[in-house]
Amino acid sequence: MTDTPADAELGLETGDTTPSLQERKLVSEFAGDKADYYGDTFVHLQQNRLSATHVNRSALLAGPFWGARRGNWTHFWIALLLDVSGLMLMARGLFADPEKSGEFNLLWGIAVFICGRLLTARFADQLYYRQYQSWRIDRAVNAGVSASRIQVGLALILALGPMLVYRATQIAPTLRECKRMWRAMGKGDEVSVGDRFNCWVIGEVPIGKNIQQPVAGGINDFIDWMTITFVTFFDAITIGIRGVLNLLELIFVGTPWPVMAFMLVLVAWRTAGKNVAIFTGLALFYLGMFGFWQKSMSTLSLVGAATLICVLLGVPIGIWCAKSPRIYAFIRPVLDIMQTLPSFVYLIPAIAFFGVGKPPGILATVIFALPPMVRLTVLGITQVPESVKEAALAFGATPRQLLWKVELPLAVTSIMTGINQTIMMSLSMVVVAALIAAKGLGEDVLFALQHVEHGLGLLAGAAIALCAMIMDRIVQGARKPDNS
Amino acid sequence: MGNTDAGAPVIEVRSVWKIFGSRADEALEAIRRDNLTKTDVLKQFGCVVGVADASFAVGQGEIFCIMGLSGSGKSTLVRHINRLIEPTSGEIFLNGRDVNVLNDEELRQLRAETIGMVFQNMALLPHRTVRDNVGFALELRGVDSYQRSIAADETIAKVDLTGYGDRYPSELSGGMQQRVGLARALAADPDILLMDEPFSALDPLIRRQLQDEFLALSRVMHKTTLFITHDLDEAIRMGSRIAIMKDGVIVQIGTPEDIVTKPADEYVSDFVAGISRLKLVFAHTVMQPLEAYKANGGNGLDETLCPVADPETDLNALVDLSVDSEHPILIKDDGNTVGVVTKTALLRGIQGEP
Ligand SMILES: Nc1ncnc2c1ncn2[C@@H]1O[C@H](COP(=O)(O)OP(=O)(O)OP(=O)(O)O)[C@@H](O)[C@H]1O
Ligand SMILES: [Mg+2]
Repeated sequence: MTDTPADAELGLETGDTTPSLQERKLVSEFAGDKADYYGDTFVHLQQNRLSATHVNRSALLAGPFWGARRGNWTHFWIALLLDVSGLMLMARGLFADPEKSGEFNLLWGIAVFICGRLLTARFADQLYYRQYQSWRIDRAVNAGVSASRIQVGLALILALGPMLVYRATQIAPTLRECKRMWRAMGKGDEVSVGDRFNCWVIGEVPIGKNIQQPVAGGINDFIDWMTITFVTFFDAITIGIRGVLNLLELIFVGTPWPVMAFMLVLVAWRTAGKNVAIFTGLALFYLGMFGFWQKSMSTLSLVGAATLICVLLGVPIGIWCAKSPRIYAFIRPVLDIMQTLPSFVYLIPAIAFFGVGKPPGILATVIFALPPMVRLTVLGITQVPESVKEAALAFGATPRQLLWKVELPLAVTSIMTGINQTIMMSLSMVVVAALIAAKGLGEDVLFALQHVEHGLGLLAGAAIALCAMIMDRIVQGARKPDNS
Repeated sequence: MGNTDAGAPVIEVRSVWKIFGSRADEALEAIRRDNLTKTDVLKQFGCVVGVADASFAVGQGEIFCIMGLSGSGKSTLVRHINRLIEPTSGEIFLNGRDVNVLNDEELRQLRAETIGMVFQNMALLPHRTVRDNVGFALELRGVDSYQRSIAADETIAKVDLTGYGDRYPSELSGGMQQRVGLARALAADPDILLMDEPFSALDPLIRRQLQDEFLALSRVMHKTTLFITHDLDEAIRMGSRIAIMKDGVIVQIGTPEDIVTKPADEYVSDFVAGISRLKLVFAHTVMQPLEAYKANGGNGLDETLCPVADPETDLNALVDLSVDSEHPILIKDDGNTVGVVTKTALLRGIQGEP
C-alpha cells in the first residue's frame, strides 16, 4: 500500500510524486494542519493512484468531528447521520424491546456504526479534495482547521444526538394515552417526568388535533353552503358536460357494432397505417368476444368527452400561461395540486355539488387529466425559437398572426403529446369514476374487486388497457405529418 | 408622409444609444457625465452597452456595410431600424419618418411593406414550405394565396431556387436556406433591406457566389441595403460605404478606399493590414504631384515614352502599365498631367506604406 500517510511521505522523497512546489504550498495553506499528508493524498487522487482501501485515519477515529474541524460540513452531516443511526439502533436493541429482536437491533446498530465510519473515512479525502478545488476558485470557502468549528459541531451533536438516541428507546404514546395522562394531571395525580416529556416531544405535535377538527368542520359547512347557493351554476356545468357526452355516446354507443368496428379500423388505417389497423381489429375482436363491447364504447365516450373538455380548456389556458409568466406562476401550483390530490378527496365534494352519475365522473377525470394538457401547451409555445418569432415580427406579424401562423403550428407536436397524455390519464381514472356510478368498463373492475372475481377483473382490466392502446395509437399516428 | 426628395437619406440614424439592463437610463446618464467605458458600465451598473452614440445616413440605392468583430453591436444596431429593439436614446428616421413614434399598427405596416430582413441564423419557419416561407410577408399583409404564390415563385426564381418551392427548409442545404431567407426578404418588394450577416455561416466559395448573386440582383433592384458583416473583405466587396464598429461605437465611416488608405485609428488599421489594396486604391492616392516630382530631381522625364493613366485607375491596372515600361507613369486628367507614379511609389502603395 503506497498511500497510507507514512508511505506517501516516502513518496515525496522519491521525487516522482512531488507536485510542483506552488501547488504543494497552496495545499499546505489550505489544509493548515497535516499539510504533507494532504499534499500527497491529493496528488495520488489526481493520479488516480489512491487504492480502494485507502481511509483517512483521523476521519475514521473522529467521525463527524473531523468534518467539523476541517469545515467540511458535507462530511460532518453524513458522518453524523450514520453515527446517530447506528447509536439509535443500538439503543433500541438495548433498552426499547429487549425481548423482541433486541439482539438483532444491537448487532445491526453496531454494523451500521462501523460501516458508516469506514465509509465516511474512505471518502473523506475525496470530499476534502473537492473542498480544496472550490477553495482555489473562491477563497471564502472554509479552509484550515478551527477550534470554533469543532465547538459548532459539538453543539449540533449535543442538540440532536441525545434526543434521537433517547427517542429510539421509547415507544411513542398515542394521543389518547396523552389525553388520559393530562386528565390525570388535572386531577392532581403524580405523573413521571419521562411520560410528560414523551407526550410533548414524541409522537404527534400536541396541539395539532385541536386545530384540525374545527377547520374541517368549517369546510363542511362551507361546502354545504356552496351546494345550496350555487345550485344553478353546478347544474349548468352538469348540463354542459352531459351535452358533450350525449353527442359522443350517440356516436360510440348509438352506432351498431359492425359499423363502429369497421369505422374504427378504417380510421386507424388512414391515420396510423396498416399495422395499427390490424392491432385495432384484434383489440376490437377481444372486446366483442368477451362481451365488453357496449361497456367499452361507453368508456370511450366518457374518455372522449373528458379529453375534449381538457383540450377545450387546456389549450387556451396553456396559451395564456405561455404568454404571461405571472399567470403561469399562479396556475402551476394549482396544476400540481390537481394532479397529486388523491381523487377520492374531490370525488366527495363532487357528489355534493353534482350528484352521482357520468357528469361528475367526467369532471373528476378532467381535474386529473387537464394538467398535462396545459403544461405541454405551455412547453410547446415557449420552446418556439425566439429567432423565428423575431423574424415573424420583423415581417409585420400581429400578435394574433404570430400565435396562429407561427407559435401554434410549431407547438402542435407538443400539444398532440398533451392530448395523448390526457387520454391515458383519463383511462386510468375510469375505475375511480365508476365509484360514483359513471358506468363503463370501470364498473366491471369495481364489481370484480368487491366480489373477489379475479377472472372478470383481469378480463375487464385488459379491456381498459386495449381501449387505451387503440386511442393512443390512432392519436399518435395522426400526429405524424406524412399521414395527415 | 415621408419626403423622398432626391438626395434625402432613406435611413438616418441619429446618435442612437442602446444599453441593456434594468438600470439603462441611469447608466446612460453616467456615461454622458463621466465618459465611462463599456467595462466600467458593466461593473458599476451591471448593464451592457450594445450601441453607443451611433449616427449615419444611407442614401437611396446605396449598400451600406456595417462591419465589426463579434459582439461589437452590429445586430443590435440593425434591429433598431425596424424597431425590433427600442433605443435607450436617439432617433431613427426612415424616409424622414421617425420610427420610434409610430403606433403598433403603423409599425406593423412599416415592417410589412417597407422593410425586408435577412437574419444571421436564417430563422426560416420550419413548418412551412419554401414557397410559403417566401410568401410569408405577403400573407401577413393579407394578399390572397393565388397572387402570393405567383410573387413567391418569381422571387424563388430570382434567387435561383426554381423547383424547390414545395420543399421544406430542412431539406435544403445551408446556402440554399440562406437564399430562401433572402427571397423571403425580397418577396414583398420592400424599399429597404436589412441583412444581418447573411453569408457568414457559409463556406468561402458559396459565400463568394451568393455575394456576386446579391450584387447582380442589387444592381437591378436598386434597394437601399444595410449589410452587416464581420468580414472586411466582404464589406469591401459589397459596400459603397462602410461603417466600422468597435464595442458599440462607430469608429469610422467611409468608402472602402477611405477605410484602407486613411484608417481612423489603430483598430481599423489592424483590420485593413491584410487587405489587398490592388483594386481599392487609385492613382490619385499614390501619385506624386508633377511639381514635387520635378523638385525631387526627376527632371529627365521624357513624357513621350511614359505610359499614361487617369487618376481613377486602380493599382492593379497601374501594375500592368508599369510592367511594360521602364518609365514612370504619367497621370493625366482631361489631358493635363497632374502627377507621376514611380515604381517605388507603386510598390509602396500596394504595401500600404508611404
Ligand atoms: N438582449 C440582450 N441583453 C443583454 N445584452 C445583449 C442583448 N443583446 C445583445 N447584447 C449585448 O450587446 C452586445 C452586442 O451584441 P450584438 O449581438 O449586437 O453583437 P454583434 O456585433 O451582432 O455580434 P455577432 O457578430 O457575434 O453577431 C454584446 O456585448 C451582447 O452581449
Ligand atoms: Mg450579430
